[in-house]
Amino acid sequence: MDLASSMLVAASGMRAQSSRMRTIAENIANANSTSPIPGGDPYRRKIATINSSFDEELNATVVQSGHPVPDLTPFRTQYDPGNPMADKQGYVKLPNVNSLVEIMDMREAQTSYEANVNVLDAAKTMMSSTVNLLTK
Amino acid sequence: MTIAPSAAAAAYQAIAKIGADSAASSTAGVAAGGDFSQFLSQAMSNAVSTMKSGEQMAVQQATGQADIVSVVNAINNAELTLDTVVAVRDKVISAYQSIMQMPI
Repeated sequence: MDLASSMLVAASGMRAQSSRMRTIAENIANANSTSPIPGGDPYRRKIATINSSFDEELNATVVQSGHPVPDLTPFRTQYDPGNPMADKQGYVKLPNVNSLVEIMDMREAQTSYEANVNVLDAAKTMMSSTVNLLTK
Repeated sequence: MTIAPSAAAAAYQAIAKIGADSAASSTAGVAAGGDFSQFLSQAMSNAVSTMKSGEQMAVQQATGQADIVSVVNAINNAELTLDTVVAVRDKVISAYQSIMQMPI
């Protein structure tokens, strides 16, 4: 049943990439979210974590998505004294999200997902072609 | 055709034995031995339960309780199991028919 378990491993990769995609979506959606209180901290960028773990039942190493960890790089600041969320000096803190980095991360998640889909497809084709030997 | 009917009968018994052995080894807790019809019914009930779990997954997904990856996996498993059972059944039935049509 190695082919069946390889399908399940590929599925775990797909799940991990989906949850990574969710974190990236949060980052992109909140790229300009400021704090609800004047001078407070805005949205802090999250970094998706992906760990491997050994599945006893499958006898294979699968992928698991861990909790997203906060990115500790400093926030961007913008001089905007008219903004109600500005601090006493007139600066507004903006999230430490770089759209370019997020887009690149998103592309990578997308490509990894497709790679896992291809693995699943190949394993399925191998199994079906084996079964098809019987119908000849 | 110079195949003795006794040889064909022996071949059929050998196939039935292989089927029973594989059924006993693949599903835990199944009594060893039994004839081909028993093997077929076990394989069929196995396929039906796999199909049911696929269907259940699809319903869960529709109500937002399962993710699409699990649904795809369950349906894939169901499809492959059914294909295998149908292929084995066809093969053994054709073997049975060729024995039945053998002029004695």
